[in-house]
Amino acid sequence: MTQTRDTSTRLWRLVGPLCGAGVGALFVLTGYAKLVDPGLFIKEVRAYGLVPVEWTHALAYILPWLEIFAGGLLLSRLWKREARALLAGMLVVFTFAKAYAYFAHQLVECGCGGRFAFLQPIFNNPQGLATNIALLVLLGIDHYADRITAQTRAPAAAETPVGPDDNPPRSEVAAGARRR
Amino acid sequence: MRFTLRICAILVASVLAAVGWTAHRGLSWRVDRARVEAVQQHKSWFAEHAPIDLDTLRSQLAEGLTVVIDARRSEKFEQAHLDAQALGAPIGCLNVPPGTLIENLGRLMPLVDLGFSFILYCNSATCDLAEELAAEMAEQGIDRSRIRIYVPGWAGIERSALPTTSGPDTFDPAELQASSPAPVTEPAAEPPSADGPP
Repeated sequence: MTQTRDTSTRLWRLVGPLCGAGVGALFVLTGYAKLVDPGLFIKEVRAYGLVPVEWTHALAYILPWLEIFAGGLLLSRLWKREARALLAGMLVVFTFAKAYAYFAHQLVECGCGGRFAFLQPIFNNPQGLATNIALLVLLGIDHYADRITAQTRAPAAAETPVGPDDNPPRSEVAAGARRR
Repeated sequence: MRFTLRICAILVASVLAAVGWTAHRGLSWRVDRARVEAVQQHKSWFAEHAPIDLDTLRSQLAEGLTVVIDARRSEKFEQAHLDAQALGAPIGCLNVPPGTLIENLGRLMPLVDLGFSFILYCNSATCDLAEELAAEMAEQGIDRSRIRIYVPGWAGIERSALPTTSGPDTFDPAELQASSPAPVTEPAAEPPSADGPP
């Protein structure tokens, strides 16, 4: 029984970061693709008709960097919770924007892949909606795997006796100092 | 608390990176609303007045004073595009995606001076890259009546089994000017329209 749980935990530890890394890498790639062709991305932001025209430049300049930073942080597993939250937030907004553009304006082109044409087919409507949902699921798997790992680590840490090389808790150090 | 601070740090870093990057590339954050609206008006005009069907495309190309412009991205153009010369056009299809018109003006203006008309196309009927490019061309002062849009686009070309070819756009206007027809001094009159932008 415990062995089965260990195997399952190991599997989550492997699959979770892989899913996170995949999403992070994709965001770094799409962010870079938008960055190299800001003119194209500005037009595509405008085509969605969701933000006032005056905001389109700012959005088109900041969004790629946000994608690169958040994707890079998730890929490197630094600040992964924050990166995951930001990427999930972006994906939710993008999915609503895509659905609105598709159903209200029959807009098929996404603009998500910037100048990288090979990215367009997976992000163009209507399959782009499915892609976004799949990416959200991958982020969910990464998050769940983190929780499982944290849960299994916590009891293990409580059960592990403090070895001679381990640093004692600060309270014990303070108590020892007082005794001396 | 730490979570919120880190989120804010990522957001601030993104804004700072964008500011630095736009300063480095000389990009403007200011949006010229009047220009955006003018382009929008041109687009609406073209959507209403410029569409042509397959027969018109064929007959205009056969007449010989028409150039086809593919408004799709260069990667798609290089994969395959309309073989305009096989339909009677004096030169092959050009590739001018919207946003690249300024850098292509040097190639297009000699054609304008020689009296050529333009037929634009993009991916399909739902793609508006051709209208976008037409609006940019009109903004640059090219007579709107000389610009037509084949709305079914690349999808229509494939469906109609029109001749296609592949490879990059290598058109050089110098080659054409050597064997060109006499320049047209008076541009063709624009059809009357009260709703178009000035």
